[in-house]
Amino acid sequence: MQVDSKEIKDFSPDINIDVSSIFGMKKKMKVQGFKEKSALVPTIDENYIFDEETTTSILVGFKFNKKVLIQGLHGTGKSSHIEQVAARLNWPCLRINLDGHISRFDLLGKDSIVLKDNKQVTTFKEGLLPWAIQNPVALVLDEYDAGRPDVMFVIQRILEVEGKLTLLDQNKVITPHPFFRIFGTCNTLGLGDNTGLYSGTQNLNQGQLDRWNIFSTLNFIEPDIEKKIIEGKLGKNKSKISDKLTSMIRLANLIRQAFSSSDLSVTMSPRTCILWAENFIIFGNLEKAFKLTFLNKCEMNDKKIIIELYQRCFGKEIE
Amino acid sequence: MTIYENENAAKIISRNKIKLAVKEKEFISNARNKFLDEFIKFENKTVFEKGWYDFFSLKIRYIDEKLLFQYMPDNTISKTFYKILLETRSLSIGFSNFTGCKMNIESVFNEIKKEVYKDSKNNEEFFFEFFLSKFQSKKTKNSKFFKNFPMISDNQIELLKNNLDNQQKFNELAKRIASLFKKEEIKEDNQNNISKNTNQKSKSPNKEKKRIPLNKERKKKKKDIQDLENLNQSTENNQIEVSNKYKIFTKEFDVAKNAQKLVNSDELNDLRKKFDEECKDYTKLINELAKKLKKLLLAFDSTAWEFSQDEGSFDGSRFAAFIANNNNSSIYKLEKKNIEKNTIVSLLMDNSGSMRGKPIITSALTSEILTHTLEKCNVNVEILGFTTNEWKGGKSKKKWEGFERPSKPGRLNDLLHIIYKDADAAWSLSKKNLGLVLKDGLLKENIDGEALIWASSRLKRRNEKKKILIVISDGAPVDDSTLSVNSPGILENHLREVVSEIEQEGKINLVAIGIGHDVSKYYKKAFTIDSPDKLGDIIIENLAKNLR
Repeated sequence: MQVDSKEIKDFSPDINIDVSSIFGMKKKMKVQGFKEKSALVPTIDENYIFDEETTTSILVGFKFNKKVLIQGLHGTGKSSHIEQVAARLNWPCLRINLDGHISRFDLLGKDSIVLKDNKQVTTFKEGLLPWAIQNPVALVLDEYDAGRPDVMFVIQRILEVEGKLTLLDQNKVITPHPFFRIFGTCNTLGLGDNTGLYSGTQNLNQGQLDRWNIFSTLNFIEPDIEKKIIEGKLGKNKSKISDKLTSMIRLANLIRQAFSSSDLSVTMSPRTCILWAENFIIFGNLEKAFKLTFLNKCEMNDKKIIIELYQRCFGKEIE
Repeated sequence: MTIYENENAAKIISRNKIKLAVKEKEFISNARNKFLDEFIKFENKTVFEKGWYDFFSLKIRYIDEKLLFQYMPDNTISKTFYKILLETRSLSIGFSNFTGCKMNIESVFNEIKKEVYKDSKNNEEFFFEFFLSKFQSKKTKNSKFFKNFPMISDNQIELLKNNLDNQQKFNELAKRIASLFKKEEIKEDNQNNISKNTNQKSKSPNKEKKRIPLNKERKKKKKDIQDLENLNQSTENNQIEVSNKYKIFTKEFDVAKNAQKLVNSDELNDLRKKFDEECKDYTKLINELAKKLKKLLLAFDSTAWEFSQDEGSFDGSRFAAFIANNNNSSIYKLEKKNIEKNTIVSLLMDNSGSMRGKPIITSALTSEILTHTLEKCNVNVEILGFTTNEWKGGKSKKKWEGFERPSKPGRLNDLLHIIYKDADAAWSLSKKNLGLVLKDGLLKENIDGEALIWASSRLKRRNEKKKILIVISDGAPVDDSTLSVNSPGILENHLREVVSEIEQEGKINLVAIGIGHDVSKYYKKAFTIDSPDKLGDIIIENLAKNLR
């Protein structure tokens, strides 16, 4: 780990933060946070809009040391939710992408060659996991359902309540830092992929899913909230698009509804909506921006239907 | 612009309340109660303009079914007006939300109104128009309205308009207004409705009958024969078992040919064109099937690494371990694929006369889509068909007659086994072969047992690890020529024998699909579907299980 790990280790939460004022939530709750910003604390996105339910579960995770897994379709902002909450608490945050190529060596540590007195020596170097556990860090496991089964069993140990980690290669037992927190995000429900959307996802071990304390889902964003999110992302440019935004989100919701009843094989994620709006600002033409951000990735049959839906929402034909 | 897109758009806009029309070009509503249905017969016009689709989908988009039934008035005439009020609400909301829909509808609005209210007697059209413009806050003359509908007060209309966003309140108010309509016409109206309904209902089966008279007769024939067999079996059960060893009179005239050799290339091309023509009616089916298959394949196609291998690509994270100890040889990784690609799928189609029409076309179509997609992921597909060369025994029978008709000669007909696509042949080369199924007079009798032997022996010669044989048929084995001179169960019993032999051997995964015919009495793994439309789903479901 390149970050000065000693420094982070010395940090501990020193203030109580009133949640309702910072996240604009109705619920009254106080969560510990850090007064000072250390390295690894994500930058704050001032315009971020928090989803009440998801934010609450993340905050509960921080406050009561609960393991929180967030499931949701792509582009609904699962990871950024955790990051933004952490940013406002000044909590150091570490994201690991659990793709199919990560092996347990990468996580736990491996022998590596270092120069010592001008000689090559092999020494054991700890991986990210042992380091994270010993620090006040929020560990975010992205794409939790893409992880390979044998890797998942490494994680299983730290999901236990008092999750001590044994490093066999070093004959060492690591006790977690009291302010170590763990979060996960995934696209599927851990039962493999039925939609064909998420190739590369695995069936999760149900015993392991059981060890997560809170299972939160973030599949749908209210149109009004989505509008706010997009406006937030556009910043000062939002006035250029405000009259079209409602129709854009309406079209996105039609596409999403068609996807869930399997009339279309693609869906339009909130991220795509943001990109569409951003591209509109660049190109100045709504149809062209739509074509470039979304329509061109659709296959022929879907395209035809989407073109129809576009016409219904905007009254204009796409050529 | 085709019906396909418009229908799909209509379904999506109505929030799935409108189901897709299948073949008959009518909307079929999904609503729990028939109340939301508005059947419009698409008789005169084959392609409707967008506005029609939008009108029917938009006017039910914002109607919540639960609230609809909660406030439903009791008598027919009130129901009509209640419905109009709810629909105008939905339409006016829709107009403000979907600019495009509004444009589309307005361009054909007069036609629509004329068609929808052509049978109305109580000034419904005026009522509808009045409220539609009222809800859209357009200027309207109230005086004419009150002349026509004196029982409704100005206050009520305003109240209604102010509650457009509150569906519950709106429905409640709408019920109150609708209940003011109580007249003697109720009875008459009722009768009208009934006669209308029955008209519609009786319409579609009539068409069916006309289209496939041959099918029905053939099926009936088969059934008769089966009944007769059952009767015979029960009386002379023992006798049959002794004398029923399957025999073949002669194999001399049997043919197993590639489709290309059965007709000349020009004719085949023409047939293929005809086939494509027919397929146009099934665009929806094809699209859905292709979509599902694609999803299925994507779901399979996940790859992962297998670490600690003795060979493969080098695993960088093990480099240090290797330097430290040269004997440490498990430093490679291998790509692991989820799908078992060492697979062959053989589709055996019953090419008997009763398959003519929709069944054979959908079977061929399904095979085509399957082959097309599976080829992409290196799964070999073989498409075979079986029938006979002649109706009445053909050359075999003549030979038998020449031999002074020995009793119980066994199978007495010339088999015709067709290879539409060999497992090794590329799809592009065998594509036109499938057109053959449309050749007049090709489809005749079906002798299932021997066809199964043939197909399975072809499979056994293959090197693939996994072998799947899918039989698509629509009836019991029938050959009049054979059955008339042998014990009646001969073909059926043989089929059973062959099936149990293949099943016991266990080398081939045998699946049977019966179109409108229960095949479970012959096969262990059997599926019955009532319509050829479901063929694709069943096959995909099976492949999903077997390919893993």
